[in-house]
Amino acid sequence: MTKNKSIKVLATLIFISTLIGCQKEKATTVLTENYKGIFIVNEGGFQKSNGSVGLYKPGSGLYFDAYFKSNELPLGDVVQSMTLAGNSYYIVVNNSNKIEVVNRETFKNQATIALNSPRYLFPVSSSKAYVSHLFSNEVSIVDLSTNTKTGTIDIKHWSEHFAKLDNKIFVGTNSNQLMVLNSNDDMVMDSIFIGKGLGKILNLSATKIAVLSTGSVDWSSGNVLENGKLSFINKDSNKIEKSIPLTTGSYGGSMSINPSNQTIYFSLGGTKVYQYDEASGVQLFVELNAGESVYGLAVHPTSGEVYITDAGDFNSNGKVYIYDANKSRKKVIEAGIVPNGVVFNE
Amino acid sequence: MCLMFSNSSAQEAVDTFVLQGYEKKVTHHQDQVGTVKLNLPFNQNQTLNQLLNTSGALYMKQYSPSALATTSMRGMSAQHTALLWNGINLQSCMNGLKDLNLIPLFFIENARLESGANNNLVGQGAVAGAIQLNNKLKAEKLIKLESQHGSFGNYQNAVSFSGFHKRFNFRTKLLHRIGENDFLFKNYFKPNRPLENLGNNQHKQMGLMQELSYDSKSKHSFYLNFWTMQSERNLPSPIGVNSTSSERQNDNNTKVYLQHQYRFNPKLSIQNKLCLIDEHIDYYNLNLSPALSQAINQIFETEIEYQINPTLNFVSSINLTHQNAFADGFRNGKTRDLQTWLNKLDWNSLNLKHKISVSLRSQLHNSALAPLSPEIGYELKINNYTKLKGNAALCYRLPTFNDLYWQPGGNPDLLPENGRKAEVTFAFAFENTRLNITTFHHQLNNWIIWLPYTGSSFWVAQNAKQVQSNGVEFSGETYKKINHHSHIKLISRYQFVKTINKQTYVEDVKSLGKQLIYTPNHSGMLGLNYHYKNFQMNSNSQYVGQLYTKSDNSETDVLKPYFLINLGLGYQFKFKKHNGELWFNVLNLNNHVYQVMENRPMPLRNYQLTLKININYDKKQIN
Repeated sequence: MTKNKSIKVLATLIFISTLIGCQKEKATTVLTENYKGIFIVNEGGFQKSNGSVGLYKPGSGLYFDAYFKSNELPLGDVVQSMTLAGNSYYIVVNNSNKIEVVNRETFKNQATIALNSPRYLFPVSSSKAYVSHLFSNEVSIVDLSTNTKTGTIDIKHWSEHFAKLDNKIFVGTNSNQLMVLNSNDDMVMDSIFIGKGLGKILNLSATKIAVLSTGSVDWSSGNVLENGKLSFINKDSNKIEKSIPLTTGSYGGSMSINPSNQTIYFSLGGTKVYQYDEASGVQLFVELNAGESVYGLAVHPTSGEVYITDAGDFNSNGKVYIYDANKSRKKVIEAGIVPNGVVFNE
Repeated sequence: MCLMFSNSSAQEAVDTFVLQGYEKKVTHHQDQVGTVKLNLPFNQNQTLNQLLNTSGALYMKQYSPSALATTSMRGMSAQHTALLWNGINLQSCMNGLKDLNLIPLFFIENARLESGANNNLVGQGAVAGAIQLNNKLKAEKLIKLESQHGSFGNYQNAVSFSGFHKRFNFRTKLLHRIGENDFLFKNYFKPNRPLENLGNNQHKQMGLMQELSYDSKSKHSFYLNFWTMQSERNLPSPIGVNSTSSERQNDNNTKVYLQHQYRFNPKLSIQNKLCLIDEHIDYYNLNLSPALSQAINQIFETEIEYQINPTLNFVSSINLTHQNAFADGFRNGKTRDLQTWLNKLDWNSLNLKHKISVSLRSQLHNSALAPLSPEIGYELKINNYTKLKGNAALCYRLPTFNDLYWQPGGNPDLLPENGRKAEVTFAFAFENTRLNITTFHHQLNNWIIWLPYTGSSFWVAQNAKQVQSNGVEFSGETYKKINHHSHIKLISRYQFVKTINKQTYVEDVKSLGKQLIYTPNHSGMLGLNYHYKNFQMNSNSQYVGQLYTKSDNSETDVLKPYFLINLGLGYQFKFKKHNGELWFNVLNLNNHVYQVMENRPMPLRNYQLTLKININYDKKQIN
């Protein structure tokens, strides 16, 4: 082979390599969409930035990534919760350290609130909300009209869910106690010991809140050290007025309520979902099939259907099972990665 | 021509341990009949990760150019590829991993990849294969200076000083690396997708290696290696994470290795190894308490080799390993003692047409018997150009300390992973051309994974899967001398790997029969090396096919295939008895936007300038 030939061969090989390496990006199409339906909050994998908020359309059975469809942007890492305040949804993206504010009708992004490791946003009035935090001993105060952080309340602990009795705001913490905040002056009023393992707190009514404590488990052996319990706090005292011991303990739990008949649905994980009302006490509501497990719970405000989220292997799309009040499984929705909650917008 | 292939041909059969100016060829028990061995020329690569990436022989998982990098050989996990340094396994007893970005090639003389069935010989954990790194200490008086300057504030400076006196050889190596790695990426989580610099991605590394050897020139020889490395790295967040935690990790480790060899007679020899490895991994996060861990491995190995007759060779070795580790998940510390006994018999016909190797490895771990792992290899020389090779073995991997003891989630009742593997290779060599085609089968039972504990935020280690990996590997290389001044060499490699879940745990039924995530079906490389007088041009093109990021192989969640071209231009120079080379490399020449891990950006086109100078201060040497 002559020198010229070898140079030609060389140039051709490099040229072919370069051609193969060139790729064009695909164009995307934007569609207008009606954002009424059932939102599913998908946490996504930690440090994978694949969290999402999906919208399920009960009529057509369609499911799509609502935030991406409306904004052509992915949401971020660990989508923890979504809360309605006014005419906006506040999507808390925990490990992206932000809250995305979107319009309720169009799901278009209106604002982004930067906060350190937020968990839940809770409107305490029409113009003000509190935000709980992981890795921070403060609860943030957010002005809902400007979508800006206006202050903090030092509660000495990391914080989780909220509930409200008039101006008393109850927030769960990582210290086996609830902190009671005054929404008028944004000060700490009191603290209430609730036992080990905060599962969730919620408003049972305007005068009563329910607290799910999960108990505790020995990490090494898996043995239950302390059973969980369901507790109730009424409006007039900052004390637990009633506590119902559960028969086991766990590491985590979830709880929701049917407001029409004040029936509580709760789970300590695994396959079992329980229901509680004053008349019947704690009863098994439903037991999922082998291979399924409870990660989150929600109750449809009008139909009373119970939505159970299942995170599966935490690495592929999870599912949402819909049960009617007769404990029959009506539907299974294929959700996003690690579905943890359901928000109804119908 | 002979220079081009001399390394690979020599090392296919024997490891060469060089002492005091002459070479002793020692048949080493790690050489296994029937497997595919691949020697890897370093070129201008800085780290073992970069070297393996450009080799195209396996898939490298990496979070960023300087962040954690691990292997996936034949579709198996990083824990299934052993990493050996002078025959000592460097995989951490805590997590079974070794970050290949933390191993600068400056401290290594040669690297070899051995795919397939060699678990028996290199120890537990080599389910998919092994990466072998070796040092060679020669009798030379040489000062080596290396300086590399790369894009994104990357600098590496290194010096090696070697010499000898009578029967002693010594060498000192020092290295310093530093990098900002603040390359630009498109932030597609933000409106208008602005270009941003990747933050919190700095790294710094310092290392020292001291080697000393003594050869009695009669029957004894000694080799001592002291190697210490200190690495500090910030850990960048994926796109979409706006972290305030400023995560960083320090990896500090020290190794001391002593080897003694005694040759009773030409047929009988004994080799003893003593090694101490002390490794610290400290993780810092502004939001959390520091997570500190330390592992200490003490290893003693003795090996007797006896050549029974010209066709029969016997090797027996005993390895005693004491592992001790402390971590946040097991603060009181845990220990493990491993006793391993290996016996190996090699037979070859007098005309070398047939070679057979059989071996049996047994191991006690804390007095419990690990699965026995027999292995058999066969080579048939069909004619002067073609060989047929085959190898089959049973294999296993012990659970790591984290799998067993980490709280919460560690499971002391875990069983070792165990399985089988087999491969057949057709090898062709004619003049300056070599071709290898291998088909392989691996199956691993009791695959250890961490499963979510029902309804909770922590995970538990369990023997929960059976994974099967089948595939085909192709490699070819050819060399052509164009004229007196120039020659050209072409290398190509391709793998088709199908690694699927044959059995899964009940919650993961969707992944049954599906390809493992981050395991490409197709990958390969094309390398081109052109010499003209003192000039060289190196082109390296890598292709990695589509990667699934979800265990159910959802087609909407994949990483696109990527094709990268690296191009290097070099000039070699000589001045009296000294020499050197200057290289200019362009990485990702085609400026391809790609990700190896989901939402982890990789750099676009970037550059490296490398200067290497070898100063020979041996007055006796003739120019």
